[in-house]
Amino acid sequence: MSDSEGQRKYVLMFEHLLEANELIARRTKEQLTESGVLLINILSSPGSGKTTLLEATARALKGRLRMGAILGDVATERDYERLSACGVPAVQIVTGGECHLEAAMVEQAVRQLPIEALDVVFIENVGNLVCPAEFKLGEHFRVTLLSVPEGEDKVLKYPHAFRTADAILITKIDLLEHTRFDAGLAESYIRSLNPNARIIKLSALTNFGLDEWLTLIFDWHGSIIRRVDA
Amino acid sequence: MATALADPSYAKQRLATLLRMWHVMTRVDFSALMARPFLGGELTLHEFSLAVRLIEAIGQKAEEVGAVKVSLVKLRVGLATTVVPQFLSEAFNVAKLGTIAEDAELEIETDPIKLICWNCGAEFEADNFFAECQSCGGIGGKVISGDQIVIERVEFEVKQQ
Repeated sequence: MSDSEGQRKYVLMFEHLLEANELIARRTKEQLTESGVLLINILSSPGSGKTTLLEATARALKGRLRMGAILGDVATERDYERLSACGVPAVQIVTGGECHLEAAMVEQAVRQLPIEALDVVFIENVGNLVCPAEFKLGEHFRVTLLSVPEGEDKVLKYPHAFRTADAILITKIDLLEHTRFDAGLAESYIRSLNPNARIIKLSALTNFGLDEWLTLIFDWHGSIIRRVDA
Repeated sequence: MATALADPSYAKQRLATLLRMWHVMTRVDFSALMARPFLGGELTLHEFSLAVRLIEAIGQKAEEVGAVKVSLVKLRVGLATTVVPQFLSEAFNVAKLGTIAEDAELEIETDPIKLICWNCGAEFEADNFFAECQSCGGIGGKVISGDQIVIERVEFEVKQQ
């Protein structure tokens, strides 16, 4: 659709700006589904316990599901070292200033993982509740963490990351008695934004809620496998 | 690290790293851009990577239509996205330097959020996710529009036939 008027010309594009990113994300998701590998994208603000959750998850999944990890950080390979110490094949993406991961980075990282020897891969996104919400990475499911010390109003302040999540983990729940965090209020905020999200209260230190989290991972993994069989 | 963050050259360094990364991923040459003394205003990075994507998309289209110059870009940004239109404008003004869109003006129109009430199913417009349904007073709803960034129209100057 274009019109020429001498030297000037205009084009109506109606092109989605993130289409290229989403194309790569779809490709990654299809490839992993075919291989029977579940991809979970984890979002949260810095310091809400993503890496600690993955360490606890790795310990609990040992001998049950084979886990890999893709770790996004602005700088350092600290998280890579922590996950490697748990025996998890991991790829660190150091974004060098970029505030989120994009589908192309994850596609490259997936190529570096021994996919045929894995059942589930977790992406630990850059600690940030804003931009990561906008970029699909090819995940089957998205999980957003809200830690107790952050306060329940994080849901109101940064709705995007909670709106698009399939599950929301309220982490560091062992700190509940030391803070003014109102779990009921947090849940009602989440419900008004995203009533279908699974909400799990969890502590990676005491393992409270860990079984519920693992059951969810097994259910999700089962749903991927069934898609392959169908 | 705190001192590094307070240092304005840190921002420049971060941007340079970002441009190098984009160069590796997209093979777009940013060397002309990197040589320029910009970075006067505030520049948030996800708006910058969106601006680079925008320049790429219109550059591709410009090539298709045989344009010599891009004069206007009209973009629609939904209020349900994470994009701050003002930051995107500023990022566009940096990202366009040294490209076919160097002189292009960016017009951003915002689209309201449209929600379907969780409670009664009525459709209503809102400026945030926790808006009250006009029909039943329920809070929030399923987002059915306003969560996209769409390049609507691009104006080019083409060579005279």
